Amino acid sequence: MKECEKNERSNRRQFLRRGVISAWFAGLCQAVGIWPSPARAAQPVAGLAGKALGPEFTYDLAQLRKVDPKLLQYRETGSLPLGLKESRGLVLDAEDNLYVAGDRAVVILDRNGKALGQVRLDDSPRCLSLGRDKSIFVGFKDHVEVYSPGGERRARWEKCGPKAVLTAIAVSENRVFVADAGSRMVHFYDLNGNLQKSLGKKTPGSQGPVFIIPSPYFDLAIGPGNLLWVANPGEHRLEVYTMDGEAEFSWGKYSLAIDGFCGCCNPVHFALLPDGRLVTSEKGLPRIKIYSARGEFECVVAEPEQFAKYLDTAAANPMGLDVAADSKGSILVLDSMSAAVRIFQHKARA
Amino acid sequence: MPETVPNNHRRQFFGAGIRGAFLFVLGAATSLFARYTQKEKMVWQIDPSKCVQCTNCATKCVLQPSAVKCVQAYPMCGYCKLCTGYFEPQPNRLNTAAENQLCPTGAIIRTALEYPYYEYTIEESLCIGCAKCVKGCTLFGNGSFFLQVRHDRCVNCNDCSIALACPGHAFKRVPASQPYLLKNREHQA
Repeated sequence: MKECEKNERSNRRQFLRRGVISAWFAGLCQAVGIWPSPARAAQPVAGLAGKALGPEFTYDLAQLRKVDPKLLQYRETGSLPLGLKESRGLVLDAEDNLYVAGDRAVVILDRNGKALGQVRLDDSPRCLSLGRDKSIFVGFKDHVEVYSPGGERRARWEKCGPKAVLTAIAVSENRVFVADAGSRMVHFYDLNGNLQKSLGKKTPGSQGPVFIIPSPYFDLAIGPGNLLWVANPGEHRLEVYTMDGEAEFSWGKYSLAIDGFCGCCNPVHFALLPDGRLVTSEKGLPRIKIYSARGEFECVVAEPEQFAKYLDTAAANPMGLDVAADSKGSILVLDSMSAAVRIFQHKARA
Repeated sequence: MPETVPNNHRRQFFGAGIRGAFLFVLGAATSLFARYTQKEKMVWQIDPSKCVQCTNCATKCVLQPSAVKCVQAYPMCGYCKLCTGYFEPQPNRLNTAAENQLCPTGAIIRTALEYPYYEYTIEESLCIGCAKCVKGCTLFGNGSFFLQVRHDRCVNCNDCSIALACPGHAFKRVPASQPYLLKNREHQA
């Protein structure tokens, strides 16, 4: 009987001892991380159980952001701060003074960035150009206004239409060409604002529209030989017309490679150099390149990594990089997100 | 003596009626006040302007597949022949061959319209909300593809597990009566 009692006590002790050891072991496992804590175990299994998606779900253009250093023949030599929250258009006059349209003004700077003047506007400008007498032609969303060199408004032209989104202006000796991305047409005006014709109108026999403009980028410029250069971004082409709107020739191709125009719609801006070559600007992969007038790719002015802010897709409606060339062949890039005009010079001349 | 009983009953009846009417009016007023001051039900939604296309929407949702889907803003879409939300960055041809499609689950349908335009629609049953197409469209195009929480399937968790993991802080509470934050042409122009 006594032995039975002894055995029972012994069993109870053994039971308690084992319990204490088990609890100590469980605590140790939990501390080491082998045993999940109650809080962690209670968490719901989310989505794909914490697994990342495979590489096929990654949109990776990292390789394309770098350009062969041999092709990069320009160097950034400076920048001119603008003090504008949003800038949209850049042109240079014959003395290389800069005219920048942005916010509700046109800011005039000399080539060293010294402020020469400012033209106050009633609305946000979209684009601008200069006349022979330095009149300032400012494009708003749906109409054009003309200002004297001193900043007085001379004229306000009629609206281009209910769909109008004006994106570029070019002024010749007796005509003003206005690119309208909203209606996908180039309007031809005389210097007094009388509409003469519109290029790009769909005709009954035509196969489709002349200009394909998926996003509000539609640039034009007047080149040597009185030719009108028009970017047709949806076709990845630069097209050349006579002053009467007759098609002359075109060039350009889609490619992510450096010699082509990338994305759905590029180039977004371009300008002519004094020697007739062209400087183009693309969005998506923001790169600035030089082409001959016949469309042969020559070199890169700036690679995408130099415009890191424009690679961030979360940036609300990033602006395209407008470009211009001065009389010495330097390239000026309007970087709205940095609120500055960045200057690039050929490495051989810099 | 028996004549006093009906009077007493009538008074009791009127008294009870008035008390009943008062309670009814009080109840109705309380109900109206409660309805007026009641906070509207809120639901989760993604602010497209803050979305960074990180893929967390596909992996962090408690639902499988995720309640987040790509949506198409038709008024904004360029109906491009070469849609960068549909095609691989360097397609060998602009056709619907699988190797040319950007979407790993084949959730985008390309339909030819009048030359040279194409319509792109999202097949929601195949979309997992990875945002690969959103990135392609936003980077090169005009951003008509964007992500939204689809409320026909979202269970509206108190602590949305995607919102907790969202690096762009793009998730916000919106009234259930206006549960979507849609883009329009103004975002483009």
